[in-house]
Formats: sequence, C-alpha cells, structure tokens
Amino acid sequence: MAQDLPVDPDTLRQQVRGKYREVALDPGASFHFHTGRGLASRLGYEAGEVDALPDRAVESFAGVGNPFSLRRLAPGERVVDVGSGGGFDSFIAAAQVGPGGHVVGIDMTAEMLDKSRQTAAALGLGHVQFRDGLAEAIPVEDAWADVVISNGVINLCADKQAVFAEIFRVLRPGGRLQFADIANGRPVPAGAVRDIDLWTG
Amino acid sequence: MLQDSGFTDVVIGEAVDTFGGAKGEDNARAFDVYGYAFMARRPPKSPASGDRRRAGRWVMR
Repeated sequence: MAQDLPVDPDTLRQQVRGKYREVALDPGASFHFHTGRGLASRLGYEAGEVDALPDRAVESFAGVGNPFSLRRLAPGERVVDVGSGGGFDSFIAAAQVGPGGHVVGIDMTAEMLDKSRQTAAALGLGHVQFRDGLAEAIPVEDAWADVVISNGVINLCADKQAVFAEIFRVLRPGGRLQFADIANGRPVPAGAVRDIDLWTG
Repeated sequence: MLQDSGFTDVVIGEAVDTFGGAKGEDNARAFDVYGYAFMARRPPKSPASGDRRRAGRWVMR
C-alpha cells in the first residue's frame, strides 16, 4: 500500500470499476446513489441542455453535484473531464464550448468508455473524445486545458493530493478547476475510512 | 488540499442533497454528507507544474 494512504489504490480501483461497470451496463438497477435524468434535475442542471441529449448519454450519469453551477464554460475552451463515466458531463461541456472548443473525457472503466465513445459517434461530436486513463495519471499534455471538470470522482481516489497535482499539471496557467464532490460535515471514524467496502457502497 | 496543490481563488457552492431518497441516504445523513460544487484556479504565473510527484506524462497529437 502506498505510504500514508487509508486504502490500497489498486484494490479501490478494482472496486470502483466493478461498481461503475454495473452503472454502465444496467443503469436502471438500484444503487445507493441516484442516476440519470432524475439525478441531473436534482443537481440543478439546465433542463434544456439535458433534454437535448439522448437517453444513453444521460442514463449512466452518477454525479454528486453540478460542476457548471459556479461558472458556465465559454465557447472555444479546451476541457478535460476527469472520470467521465458514460460521458454526460462531457456532452454538457461540449454543448457549452461549442464546435470551436474541445473536450477530452478520461475514464478507467472499459464499459463506460465504450458507452461514451459510441454516444459521441452517434451524436456526431467531432470535438469530443474519450481516453483510457487514471485521475492520478491523466493522459493529457502539460498546460493543455482551459478547464478541468470532474463529478463525484475524486472522493473515490485514495491519493487525492496526486489527483490535484495532475489536474494542476494539465491546466494552463490561469486555467480553472470546476468540480463537484461530496463532503461530510461530521468526522468519519478512522476504522470506517480504512474499510474499503464503504468507499463504494 | 486544493491550496496545498497550488490552487488559488477557491469557491465552494451551496450544499446539494445528493443522496436524499436514495439507498445511501441513511449513511449520508449519519455523517452530514452533501454534494458541493468547487471552483479553483491555477495561478496565472504558476511554474510549469505544481506536481511534485509527476504521476504521468503524455503528449497530445
């Protein structure tokens, strides 16, 4: 196990892949979190932007907040979506930056990548692409991005400092990180933090 | 943690009841877990990378 981390990163990744494989393949199943259009509405996404997307672009959405709520993306911006899942936030970003912008989604779950790539192809979005990669090793060159977005992903990474360092690297100087994630108002007991089953369930 | 990584101008949005009505609601209530939007900026004059561990390298075509 990496030094000072509460759980083993590789073991956690396997659990996360397993959980989100289910969300990709069977999005209508019952999870401990909400999914799909109902979740997008709960989190305050603009209805018009969500309604414009086909079901397959929305059904596997499992975010925890709205990374666009504090600032709408600008036309032409270059965006990296860390933990892009089924591609929902990447497609919202693609609409906001327009065809003059560019969106790169990163995910480590094969079934999610397959789904997001097929949806992007079906939508004819030439300015969106999805790459296999980890939040701790983002497959994007230094200082490429104007904006990095992420939604409900960093809390599932054992080494959060490594994730933020990678995001810092891929952002251009002056670029913005816009992400959504969960935070707890009461301390979680140390034993629970080390219980890897509680991270994904 | 964001500031430790070199980010500035950190903004935190309103809490959202992410798990309300879901199977995970009881655990979320037990620890006051909510969803938040965050925004932060890489300083305009920051060095080439704030990453002291350099987790990955890749060059876009």
